[in-house]
Amino acid sequence: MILTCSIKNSLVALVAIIISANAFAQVTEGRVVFERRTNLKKTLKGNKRAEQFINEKNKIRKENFELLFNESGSSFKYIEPEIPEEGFMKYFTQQNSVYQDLENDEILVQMNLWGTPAFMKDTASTREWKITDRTREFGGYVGIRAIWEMNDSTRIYAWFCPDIVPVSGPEGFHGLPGLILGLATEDGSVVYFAKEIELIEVPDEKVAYPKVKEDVYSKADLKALLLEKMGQWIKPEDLEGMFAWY
Amino acid sequence: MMGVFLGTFAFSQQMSVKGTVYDTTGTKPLKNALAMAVRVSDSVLLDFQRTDANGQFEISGFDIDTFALVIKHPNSDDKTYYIFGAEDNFDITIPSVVMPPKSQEIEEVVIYAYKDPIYYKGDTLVYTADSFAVGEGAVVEDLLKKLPGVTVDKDGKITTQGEEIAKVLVDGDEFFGDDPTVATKNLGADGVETVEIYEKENEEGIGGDEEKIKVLDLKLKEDAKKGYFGRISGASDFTLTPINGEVGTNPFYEGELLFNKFSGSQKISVFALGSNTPRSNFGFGDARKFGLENESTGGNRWNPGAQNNTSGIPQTFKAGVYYTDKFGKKKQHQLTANYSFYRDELDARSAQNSFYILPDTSYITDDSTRDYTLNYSHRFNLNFESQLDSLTTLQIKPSVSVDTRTKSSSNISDFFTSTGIKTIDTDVFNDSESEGLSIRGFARLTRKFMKPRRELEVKYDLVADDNATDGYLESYTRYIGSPFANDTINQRKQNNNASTSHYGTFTYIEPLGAKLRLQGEYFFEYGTSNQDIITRDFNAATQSYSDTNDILTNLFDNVRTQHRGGLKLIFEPKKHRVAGEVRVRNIVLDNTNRESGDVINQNLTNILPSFEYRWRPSMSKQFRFNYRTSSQQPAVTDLQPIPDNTNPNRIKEGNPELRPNYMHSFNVMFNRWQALTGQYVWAGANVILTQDAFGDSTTYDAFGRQTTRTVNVDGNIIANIYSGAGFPILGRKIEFRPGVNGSFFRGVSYIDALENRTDNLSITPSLAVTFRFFNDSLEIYSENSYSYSNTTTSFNATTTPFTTLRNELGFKWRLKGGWAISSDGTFTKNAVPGDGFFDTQFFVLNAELSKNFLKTQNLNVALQGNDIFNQNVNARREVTGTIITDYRTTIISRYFLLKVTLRFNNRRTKEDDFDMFH
Repeated sequence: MILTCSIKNSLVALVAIIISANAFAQVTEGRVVFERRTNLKKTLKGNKRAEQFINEKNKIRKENFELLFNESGSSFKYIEPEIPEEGFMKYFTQQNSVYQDLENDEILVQMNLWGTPAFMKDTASTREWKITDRTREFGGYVGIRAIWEMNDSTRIYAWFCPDIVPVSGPEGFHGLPGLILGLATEDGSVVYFAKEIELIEVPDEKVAYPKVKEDVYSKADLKALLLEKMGQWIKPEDLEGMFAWY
Repeated sequence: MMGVFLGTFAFSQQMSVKGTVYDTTGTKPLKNALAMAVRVSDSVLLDFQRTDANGQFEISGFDIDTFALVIKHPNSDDKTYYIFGAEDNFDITIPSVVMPPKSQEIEEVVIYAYKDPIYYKGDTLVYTADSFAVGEGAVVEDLLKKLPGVTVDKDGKITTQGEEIAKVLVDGDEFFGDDPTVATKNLGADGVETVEIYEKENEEGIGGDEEKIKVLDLKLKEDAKKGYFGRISGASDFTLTPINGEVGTNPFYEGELLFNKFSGSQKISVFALGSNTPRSNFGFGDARKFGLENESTGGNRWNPGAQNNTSGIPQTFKAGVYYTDKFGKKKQHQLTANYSFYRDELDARSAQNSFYILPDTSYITDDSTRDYTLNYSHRFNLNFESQLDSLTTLQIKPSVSVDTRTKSSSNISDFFTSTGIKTIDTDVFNDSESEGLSIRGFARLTRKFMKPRRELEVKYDLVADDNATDGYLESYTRYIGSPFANDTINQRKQNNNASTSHYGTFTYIEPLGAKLRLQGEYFFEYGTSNQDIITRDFNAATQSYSDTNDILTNLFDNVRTQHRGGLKLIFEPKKHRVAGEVRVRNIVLDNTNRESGDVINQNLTNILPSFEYRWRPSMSKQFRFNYRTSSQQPAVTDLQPIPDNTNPNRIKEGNPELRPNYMHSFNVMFNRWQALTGQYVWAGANVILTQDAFGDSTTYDAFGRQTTRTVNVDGNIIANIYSGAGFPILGRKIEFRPGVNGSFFRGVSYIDALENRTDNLSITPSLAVTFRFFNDSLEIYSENSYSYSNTTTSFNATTTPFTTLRNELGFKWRLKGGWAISSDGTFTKNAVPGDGFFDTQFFVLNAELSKNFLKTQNLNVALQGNDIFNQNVNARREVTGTIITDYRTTIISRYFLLKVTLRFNNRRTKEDDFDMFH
């Protein structure tokens, strides 16, 4: 069983060994760019109005996110595309920012509710993960697949890399013995895969909570507020699903 | 490497494992090595920890269990221990974990060979379904079980050569969603042509770990994907609606049929609609659902999507058929064709009261008109789209329409002085028959390149029309208290006009960087039009229309050639978009009077700049500004130097020297929406300034009869402002929507060669409120507005401000058992100082009670009452130049309908209408 993270290119590895004896030491800080692929045909299934606009060509939406991490925390943010996107397809997905405080097991989420920010701070959720023996490589780093049963119908796959020490990941995911480099719903409707992994120094202020002027709600309070304000547009189970990610 | 550990300590309910990890030499402690505990029974991660600088870890805090302890470090292979926790074995210490050296494994590759009927097509393994015998009523799964190399387990999981099939496709598409068993357990085996197995890029990341996934693609026989759905409805009042106090005179009715049959990529829709109520069109939702792209029209709240005809008494019949299909190996060619037939009849009776404000005097006229029109129209539309290769698209879209129109109108007018003394009265009758052919079409080639955002588009447009009208004019004028003899006109008018325009456009976009693009455009137009008007007077001696009237006969040609070139620079940094464009155009117009031989040439060169800016700081906020310039060419009717005496009291004359106009338009817009509170606000303004605008130059005779000629005028302004907001409260149970609209129009005209400026100002505040209760099953709404309008002219101090108040209150309630009840009442009050028949008020009340039947709720029976108090009128005021005209048109008011609607489909399930909101 090879469950170890390894650098793919052995030549690079060899050079690395010569240069530094610590080349194989685990990564404790850095930057990961995730590409999120959303299959709108699946995520908007049953939403008749939206389904009208989804076809084979535009059903896959691709967006990039940046995860900065060190041993005290992580920040996960949407990367605005260089070329602004035309059209309304972008409104079919959400781009939230997530800060994980790894020292206090706390999380701060800036939900982007179609342009209006809403802040939520709470203790980090604990999830029950099942470890599998299947792996997948992300830019030279091997991730081990773990599965979380979100509810009866949804299972979430996460690929964690034991070589990257901080217990963090995209969105509000964490709790695996290594940074999560891949995240997917089992039906493939939403997939986050690391496409760039950079070993850079990340000072604490880059992963610290931002200064927030607006009200900060607890998870339960924000959920209740949204249910009250937007209940007629969002099905309670969809809202539940939205919060299960944090 | 693996070890089994049995400890020997007691006392606690919680597991604890301590240890120290060393490198492969067994001497140096390893820092940050991972120790994790995974339960054997279900692989749940129980706990994990990283080793400290001394190589030590401690895993604890979970119940006694059997688990694997996996130690990982990048420099080594893993080391796994299986730990059997028990009452007497829960606190374990592993003094020395020495990591094993790295090893390498090579994956085995196994290759199979097949004989017919299984073969490889490139990388695709193909099974021909008919070669494998299956029983009657067998489903796809039964077929798969027969295929060599394919196994299906009891849960329906499919494997081929030991590899799991990640996805089942139908004709290359996820026709049945994510669960492969939906397709394999429900589709009949006899519908399958071939079964194909191939590897595919895992573009959707279906939980797989490999870049490629195995896919099973069921290619269906042509007749396997089939179905239909539709709606049929009929409504009548059984002549029970009293009309002028009498019952049984005229039945009101509505009937419609909508049907769609699909088979693979082929879709055929049939529609028909007949009515003598204002409901004369299909709504947006129906057009969308049934693919009737040319039948979609605007809509209103009462009947979402249905446009109402409110300009007279209509009678409508329309029917048609739509066809669409895709062809080619990759279905890359799409053909859409449709034919529609329309018969529209409209009987409009109206009364008009006009007040003419002139520099030195004023007149009043009373008109009562009746216009009857009957149109027949046949329309053919074709659309062909083809993906020639992955970068090139071709579209060809021609359409042809053949129309015939019968028109009969009468106009009885009385002219008065401002003191109310009648001077003349006239009766004017026009009858005509027209035939027309209209052709529209374009061909467009779009090409993308390997370089992203580089684009080329070449387009050719054709617009051609050919119309012939044969009409008769009879007019009688009586002069009261005047020495003039009465006038009589009796003429036959034949009008043939034809026009053809060719347009070519070539557009190329080159990216100059990540945020900058340059767009170049060249546009060419060549158009010809001619209008032949031949008027013959009635000859009493020969009893025929034999005397050509030279003044009213003219043959006229217009030829246009236009070249336009433009360059546009588009700069798109994050959240902003700035674009500037300059276009230069040259237009040459040749107007030839074939009667007189006069030729008027115009050669104009204009610069047409434009600019746009957009700022979108977030998805729910945006600001836009744009400035555009454009130029319109006069219509041939405005150019031809011949009087149009269709209404001898209001003669119109063309002007061959008319120049194209030049318009500057400014637009500014802002909106903002807050998702959390649901509040939104928007505001905007637009202004259009026109140079060389088309204006009227009017002369009046002593009685107030007018002759108007179109001339170029300067100083026309159109300005609008609009704003609105929404404030929901109590979790959106109540929503307030205030708004304000305003407009200012300035029109310049000439009255007897004197310049006149007419300014028209109006402002309309409004407030709407919506209440939603009982899970949105009850909705109560109210819309209210008040508008104030005033007109001033530069040579007369008289102003006639008028106001309109409108209050609407309604509700819609969906009850249990398929019942629904709704009602809507609108009060309108028009007020003008003094009197006049625009000054009126009326209340229109509508109501509907309906119930759904059948297990599927697909049968609906509704009782509708429209304008129950029989008050509806169409009253409007138009102010043009120096004339204020009040109109009143007789329209359909009260009627009741009993309506039965049946929705159906081949699956015998609940069939929903297209719903915009769910």
